[in-house]
Amino acid sequence: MSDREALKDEYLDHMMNPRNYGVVKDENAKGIGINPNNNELVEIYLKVDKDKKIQDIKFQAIGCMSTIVTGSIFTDIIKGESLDEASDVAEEFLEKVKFAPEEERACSEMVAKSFLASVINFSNREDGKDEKEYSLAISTDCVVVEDEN
Amino acid sequence: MKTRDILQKKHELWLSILFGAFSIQNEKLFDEIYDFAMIEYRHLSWIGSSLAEIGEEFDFDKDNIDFQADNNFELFEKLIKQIEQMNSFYPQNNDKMYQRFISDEIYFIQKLREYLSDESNNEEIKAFNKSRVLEGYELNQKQSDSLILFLFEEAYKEYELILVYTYSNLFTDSKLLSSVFVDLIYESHFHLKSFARMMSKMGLLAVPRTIVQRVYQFDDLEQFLIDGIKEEEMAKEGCLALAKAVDHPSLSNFFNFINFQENYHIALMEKALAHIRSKK
Repeated sequence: MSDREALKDEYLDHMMNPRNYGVVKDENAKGIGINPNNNELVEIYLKVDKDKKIQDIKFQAIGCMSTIVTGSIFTDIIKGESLDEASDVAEEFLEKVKFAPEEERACSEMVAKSFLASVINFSNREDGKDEKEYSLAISTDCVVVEDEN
Repeated sequence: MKTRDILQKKHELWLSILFGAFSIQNEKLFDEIYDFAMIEYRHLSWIGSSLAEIGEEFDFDKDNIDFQADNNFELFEKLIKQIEQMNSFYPQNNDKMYQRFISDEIYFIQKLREYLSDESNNEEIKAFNKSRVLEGYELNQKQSDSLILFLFEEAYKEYELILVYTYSNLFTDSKLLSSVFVDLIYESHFHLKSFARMMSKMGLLAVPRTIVQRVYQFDDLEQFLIDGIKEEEMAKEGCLALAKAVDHPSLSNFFNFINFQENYHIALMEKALAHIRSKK
């Protein structure tokens, strides 16, 4: 989302009080979406129940305010959903931002990929793999473009 | 309670008092409570130092910071309760550090109760009403948006820098590095105060998010400083762009003043970098 959109009331609220920010201490999945060019990243922690529903989700980030707002909204949407449903949301999210300006795409991509990475990590742990976290790199840079107006 | 848990509680209390102070519009009350917060910050640093001395790692994780109130009296009551609770976490022994904490906090409570006894100290708190208006300044939508985004990004950054340099300072043996870190810590305290006061006046005050541990628990100080210099240069550009965007004599002067301070931060970080490289 653009900086201008971030200043609408709802977004301002997410800036002041990001939802689901932090760490799930007893997580059973952790994923990282990383921008390898500048080391900005989003970490997602999941507590998935026996029905594969997201009982708890938290995220934290090294990144800009757009990333925080996106993470706040995204985690709010998928909390309580099944892993499959939430993965669909993440894929849809990635599809939608494909056509967004580059600087907006990177923030959203980090959030969606961190979630998809956590799903891979969950599956790997279920398969008995001793894997603390799983990482996926994003394909774009987070570059702030100056408004010419 | 373990010392590292006391550190977390102290971190949370520091932020409660600090952001509680930022939310108060009365300048005299703000100044006094801000001083209490700065003393709490020193307590935090001393607890960190006691852990570093025995080689025990710690983090700056925090829970929700409960400092929002509708008026000053509600805030004072809230702070008194939190300070009293803090007191119950200290070990019951003759440790000079904890005795100092207890003595400081008895005084803070006495002062807060004193404020509560004077009805003229009770004012509505408008720091969270999202008015987005900075009284005395007529900013158009674009100027206001630029300012808000800058304040959110930079208030977080300054909080992060305070904790990063505090942590680094506790784990360095170098007198030169320590001196640089302490200078940078107090520079960031000033910047955080300046930005948060502005956010408070615009009804947008919020405690910065928790810092990801890997940001301050890094292995490569040299790389951290190289990245930090780049970030300071970007912050300088941000200040200059903002000074231009707000196009208001007083605000532009303020952001130019902040921008010039960033030059000295870069000089300090370059000094630290040169020192590290000379030891290789």
